[in-house]
Amino acid sequence: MSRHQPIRIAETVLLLVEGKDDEGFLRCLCEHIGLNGVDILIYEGKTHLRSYLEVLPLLPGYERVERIGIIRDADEDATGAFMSVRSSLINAGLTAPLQLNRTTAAQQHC
Amino acid sequence: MKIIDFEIKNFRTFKRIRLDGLRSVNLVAGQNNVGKTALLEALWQFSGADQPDVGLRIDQFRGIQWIDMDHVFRDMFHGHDASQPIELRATSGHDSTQYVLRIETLVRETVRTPVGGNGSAGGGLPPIVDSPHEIVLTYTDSSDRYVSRGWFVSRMAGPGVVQNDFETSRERVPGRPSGVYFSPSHRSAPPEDADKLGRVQVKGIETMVVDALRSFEPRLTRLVTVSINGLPVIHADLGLGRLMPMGLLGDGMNRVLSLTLAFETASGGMLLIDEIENGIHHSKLKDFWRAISDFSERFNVQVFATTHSAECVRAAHDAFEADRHNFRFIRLDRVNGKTVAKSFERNTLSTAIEADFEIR
Repeated sequence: MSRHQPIRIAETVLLLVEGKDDEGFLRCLCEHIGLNGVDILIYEGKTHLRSYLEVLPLLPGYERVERIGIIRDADEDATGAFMSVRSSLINAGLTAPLQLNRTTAAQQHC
Repeated sequence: MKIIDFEIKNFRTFKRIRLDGLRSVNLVAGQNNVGKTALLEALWQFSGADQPDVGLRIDQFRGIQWIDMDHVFRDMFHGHDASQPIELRATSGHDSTQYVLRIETLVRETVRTPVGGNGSAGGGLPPIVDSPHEIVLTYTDSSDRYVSRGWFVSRMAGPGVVQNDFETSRERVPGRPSGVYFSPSHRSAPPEDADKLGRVQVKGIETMVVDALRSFEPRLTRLVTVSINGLPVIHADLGLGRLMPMGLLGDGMNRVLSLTLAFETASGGMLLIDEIENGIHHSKLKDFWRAISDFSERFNVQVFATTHSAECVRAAHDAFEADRHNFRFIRLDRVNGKTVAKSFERNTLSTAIEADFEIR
């Protein structure tokens, strides 16, 4: 009988997605292209992203995280969605990209 | 005295660690050997600021036998290096006063008297072989300073018989918060609990204890102390037409009884509970935490508890929903070889629980 195991951060790259469909798609994609070393985590919708990012640094294993990717529906306003994600990152004390489609070097976590 | 922050330097596994935003009830989780018990021990030592023997009692709880007395206290120091003092600092939530307990070992200035081959020494006095080290506790608050000392002596109690003692010179600290430590396997002696129950009954709050136990045994109507062969023993009235000695009931129920009664002893101070969930069924944990909350408030006791159980954390989170400002969850984690304390606000703990993250 399988035993329920809570989610642990095990990898250096986190990919945060909105729901199970996104997670399933990305998991298959990662397998297909042979991309390993990525934890795909579900933040259960855009309204929960802020609190989800706040809790990440408190979790065991977070200290080894080097990069975080966030996937979110743009809905009708890509810029607004980007700014919302950016605000959540800053609120959690994380480095936030300045512009859409540009990466930002991560700062030391914890 | 309730404290709102606590800093530990050079104690056991902690080179330095700081806990902020402490509340009336604080639950600490973390993996094995990360320092949860050491944190409780540091708090216990802090509450025993004028008791140099607390370190020895801590070792007894850990089952450590003192073989080499000169090294007994070294285990308290980070890296077993007693050249740097231990510092325990706390801030009172009442008036923001800072309290500091500094612990160091010093070489005693007394002259060692060698024991003669026949167990006697010159001058006709009983020979004494003393440990060269003493432990010195210096407790300071905003205006006062108190110094207490402890050291070992070995006396010849008779021909070839050596008696070891720990002697102290104590400067009592007025208003020192009392601290009660509850080990994972704690089980009080029946007369000890009967004595505490008596004190609770005198205060007219026995029903609090009965109510806390009733969630584990709904048939319980009252607790009665009966003297058997001169020893007071608490009995439970379960409506069976005959009283039951508490010892015949489950370990969990006895642990809850001892725990609730310990609040009376710790009144105005701290109750330190290691592995709080021991002996308690998961379905009863929420009621248990509610009882802890009630007792903490009634006796003005600040609670620090440890757990390995996610169910225990969830139950505490649920139990304190209406009383959210009185509860804090802290996770100890090893980061880059150092133990750090990660303090969860209520909303972050909610998120971690809902997302099913590992929080133990």
